[in-house]
Amino acid sequence: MFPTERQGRLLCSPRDPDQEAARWISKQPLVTSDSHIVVLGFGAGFHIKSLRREYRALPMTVFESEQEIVELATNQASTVDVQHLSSDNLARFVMQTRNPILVLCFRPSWALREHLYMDAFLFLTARSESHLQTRKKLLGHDRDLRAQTIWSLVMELPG
Amino acid sequence: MRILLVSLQRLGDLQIHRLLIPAVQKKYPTAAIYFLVNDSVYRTQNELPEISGSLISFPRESLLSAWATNERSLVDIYNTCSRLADEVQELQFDLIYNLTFSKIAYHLCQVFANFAPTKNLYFLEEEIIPGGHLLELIARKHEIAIPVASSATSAGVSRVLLQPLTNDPKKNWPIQNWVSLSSQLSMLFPWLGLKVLCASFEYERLKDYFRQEDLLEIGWQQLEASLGPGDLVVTGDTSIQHLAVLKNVPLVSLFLGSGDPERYGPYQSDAIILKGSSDCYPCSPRLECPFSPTACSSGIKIEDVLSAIQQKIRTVHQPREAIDAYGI
Repeated sequence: MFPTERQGRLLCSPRDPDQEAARWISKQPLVTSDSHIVVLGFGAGFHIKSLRREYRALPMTVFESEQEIVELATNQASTVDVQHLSSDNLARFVMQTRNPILVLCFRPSWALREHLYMDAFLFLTARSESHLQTRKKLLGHDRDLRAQTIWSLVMELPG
Repeated sequence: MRILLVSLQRLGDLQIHRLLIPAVQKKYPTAAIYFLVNDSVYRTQNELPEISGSLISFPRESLLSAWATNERSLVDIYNTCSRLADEVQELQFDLIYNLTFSKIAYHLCQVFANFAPTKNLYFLEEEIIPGGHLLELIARKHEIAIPVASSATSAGVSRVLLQPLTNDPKKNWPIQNWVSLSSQLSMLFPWLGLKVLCASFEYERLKDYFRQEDLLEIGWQQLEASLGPGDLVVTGDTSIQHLAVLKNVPLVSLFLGSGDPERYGPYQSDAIILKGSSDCYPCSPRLECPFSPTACSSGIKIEDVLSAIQQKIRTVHQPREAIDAYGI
């Protein structure tokens, strides 16, 4: 497992990281059997280890903003796909992933990169107007009449 | 030929929409008719005996649940809708009737129309709906001639089915009234088989008020199969009243709270409809009633319901022995 601190920055709770991970998992939304779990923030990996134990069969991808942690994590956690948090990687991921994704935020590891992770969250979930437009463009939905009609239907659902 | 009827509302609405089937079949005798229904309806009713097509489930509940979960992607919700559209495309419908006044149904039909732009498609505009019965509005819009059903009068009433609970507490006639009605009916017409209908989730609530042997805990499709000549249904504003119409069963309906019989009442010429009376009746479906029991429920008295039932029992032909014994 990784150290709980890196260059003066806490990656997770140094006092009881396992309990923090368990508490975090218990607060996450329902994971369905067809989900592709995406975690924003690798931290020290305790929550990833717990998640992996809980959902052994589900595909899981972690986006981490620090390249060095990505490299260390890739070497150590071979059953989890850990990627550097970059717009290219995020775009490639959403274009290649077929399963419905569930985006989980491990905020204890975000520290001063909050805005970066939040932007990634909104891009992955398409939950802001600008990110939704970006996703539509990526998928070619902005030029497709059928897609536009289905989007109208989707946006009408909660009403 | 394949025809799709889009019925994306509740179970009761589906029963109303089913009344259109004979007219559509008359217009297109060789057509296989399919229905698109919400998943919540599909769980209760996943087949209709009168159609040669089938019911297709629209996963509204799971889509709404995904919508409400911020961690889920809207793109995945889009993909689910897109897959449904693909499935509908594979069936190659020649005609789609939208029977639902909702924007979701409107957009869905537009998606389906994209697949077959040259074929006929009917959908209702997003406009303020004028007055009148729902079925007549739809029939007029789609140019379908529907007859008004009446109950079968050739068979005498041998069983009275009471349905005390509705899906909305403010539409419920007080349960003590139902208990009193039930005991008075038993005394007045001892030859009648009297049953209190309940779904499995209603049983616990009703067992404190009625004798166990009087309760008929029954699933929707079993009820549909067993309803028939000899039955009389007495119910609040429930889907069962529309099922009774479909089965030509005599009916007494009690409308309270937000229940609006002019728009959503049973489409049967001789159904007896009793309405609540108070300054606030009918109220908005979105408002909770501050009174318990509801103010409007006092407008329907036990004697009124009893009298309506007696009227029904007298109207339909009774078995000889009942006439001889009770002078009915």
